[in-house]
Amino acid sequence: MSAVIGIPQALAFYYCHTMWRTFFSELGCQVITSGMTDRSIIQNGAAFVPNEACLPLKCYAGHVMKLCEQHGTPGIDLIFIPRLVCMQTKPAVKLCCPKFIGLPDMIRGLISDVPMLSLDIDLRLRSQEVAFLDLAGRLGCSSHLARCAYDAAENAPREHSDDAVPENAHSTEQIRIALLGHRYLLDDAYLCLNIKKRLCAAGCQVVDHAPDHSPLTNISQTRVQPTSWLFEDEILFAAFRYLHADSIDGIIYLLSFGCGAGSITSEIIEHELRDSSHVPILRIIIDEHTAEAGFQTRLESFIDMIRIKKKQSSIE
Amino acid sequence: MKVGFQHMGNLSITLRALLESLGCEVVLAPRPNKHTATIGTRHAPEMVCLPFKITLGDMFGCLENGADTLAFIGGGDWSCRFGYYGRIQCSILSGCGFQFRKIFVGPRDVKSIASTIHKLNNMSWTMSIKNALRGAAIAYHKSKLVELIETLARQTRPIAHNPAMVSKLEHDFLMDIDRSTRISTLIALKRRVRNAFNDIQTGRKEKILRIMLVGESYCVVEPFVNFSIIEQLGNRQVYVEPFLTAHRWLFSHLLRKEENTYLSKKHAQKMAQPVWRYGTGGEDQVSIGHLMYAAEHDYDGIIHLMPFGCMPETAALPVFERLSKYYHIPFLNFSLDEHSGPEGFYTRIEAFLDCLRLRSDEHVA
Repeated sequence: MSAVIGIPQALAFYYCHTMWRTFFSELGCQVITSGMTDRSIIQNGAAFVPNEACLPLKCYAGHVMKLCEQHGTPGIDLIFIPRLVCMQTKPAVKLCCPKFIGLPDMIRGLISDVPMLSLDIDLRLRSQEVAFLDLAGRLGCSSHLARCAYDAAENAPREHSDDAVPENAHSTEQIRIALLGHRYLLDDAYLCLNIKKRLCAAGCQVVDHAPDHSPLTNISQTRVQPTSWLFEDEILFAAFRYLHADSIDGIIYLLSFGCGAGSITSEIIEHELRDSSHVPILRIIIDEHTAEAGFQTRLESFIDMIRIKKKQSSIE
Repeated sequence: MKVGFQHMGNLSITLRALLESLGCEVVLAPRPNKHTATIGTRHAPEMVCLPFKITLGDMFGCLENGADTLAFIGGGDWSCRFGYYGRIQCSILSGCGFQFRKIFVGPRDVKSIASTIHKLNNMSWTMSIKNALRGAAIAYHKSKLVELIETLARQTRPIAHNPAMVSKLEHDFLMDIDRSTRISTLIALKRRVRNAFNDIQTGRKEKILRIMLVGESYCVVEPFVNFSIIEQLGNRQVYVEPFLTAHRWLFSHLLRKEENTYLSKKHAQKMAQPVWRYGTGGEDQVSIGHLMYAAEHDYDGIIHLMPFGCMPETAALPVFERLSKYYHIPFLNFSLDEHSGPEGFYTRIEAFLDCLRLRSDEHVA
């Protein structure tokens, strides 16, 4: 089997790409990703997707269109568009946001004739393994090969960014800013307007939360009342950790305009998780019209305020 | 115990009957109005969907009128924001300094609801069960009668010589239902309803356009949010069939009891499955099923209502549009928020109706 499979580099890609990549390459397929987001991708996507849909979804459609252009010999044979419904059943059922659940149907509605390779992951109905073996069967692979590929994919190392809250809490010099947000926003340099680079350039140390799904059980059981959204829970747990860590000076919560879950999570963070914490939170909502200058100004003023606050507390 | 809950169309008639039989006093906010929307919007998160804001306004109204207990719909696994209404609204209301007891109504909260009923009935299980059964029976009868009146009204209005008369009749009968407390009076009322609607003079000559109303449940059911679209279009000789009513929402969607309607929920979902495999929360899958049904049963057009930023409906919108092209059925989408006004709304609808009339004339010619 030597199909060429294209994977749009957006949305769930940032959560599961090692697994997908390993699985397909173990099956003997060639994997091509659509590359980094750029201006034309966003513009193409935004022209097709309903205008009140969230930015990452517009971005996803743009990536699919870019891959579609490469369709046909000697380009891409199939585009991998998974449907993520339920990714965790224990200890509680965790669902994905509606755009993940309807993604293949939606792309079919938007763009005609997409050579789509879809996969339903709904752990309430069948295990992930069965789903992937079924997918391999559709690609014409033997069940033995499929099983090997799945095992390899399952055990593939997941990438971790440095999520640990730094130990030494008393370095007064550098400001530590924690980033909150979906992986598909924070890891996409174009979508998040290179926020990490900007913060580093302003002399801050950036702390980013972990992309893996390991539940932070000790915290979750005590303080945070979870939601039924998987990706949102990750943000809530991280938010709780940052709000109550001495070493974090400020939190920036990056949201995309039209992100439905975001309006709920930011409310939970403000009302339920904050308690006595005084860590300032800056909430920035971005969409395809967000301009760099305004963005930079808001970051700078936030950093300035933290600096002033820090100076005052050190004098006292 | 003074219980308050949100409005949704004529749902309050049913729920009031149920709760009063159980021994609660029901204290409600006035039907949603501009003030409700203003106060809800002021306290709700900016980006949240419209039903959240209006129902939050309802809750404020209940508390101002003296309710000491609020019932929220909660529990269950939702991929849409609807599952978090109760949780967030509670924290907003307590943040405003209100003190109240909360009841979450959902599959996970059966135990606490039972114990509340038990307490209300002087700690006697016999009385509790007797009252609960009686309450359920009368609520069901009322709900069915409301459904009948709404159906007759929306069918009669477009062909009546005097549509205002129909609306008056509907309003009066709904008041009667709300007042009656016995099943026997309801049965007598049912006969009166049928006779009254039969006696209305009908027989207008113009062709009647038939429109299917689909979308998000609250927007379709609550007349304040959809600017009484069913009544207003009925006055313009347009028959509007909503895919969902308060009765159907309560019984077939919440309690999963299948009703004998022209298109059951299950069947609608099955029809929609090839194009939209999962229902994600806001009745998207059932809506798609109804669009397909309408296209196959000679409806003239589809109107789709959703709150601005509704997660499931926004995701499903491309599918609606694709289907409308496939079936050649005109489709008009509205995304409503607290800034929507009836003027813009009806201007767009009138233009849409003009197109539909031209189109049906062409078909005839």
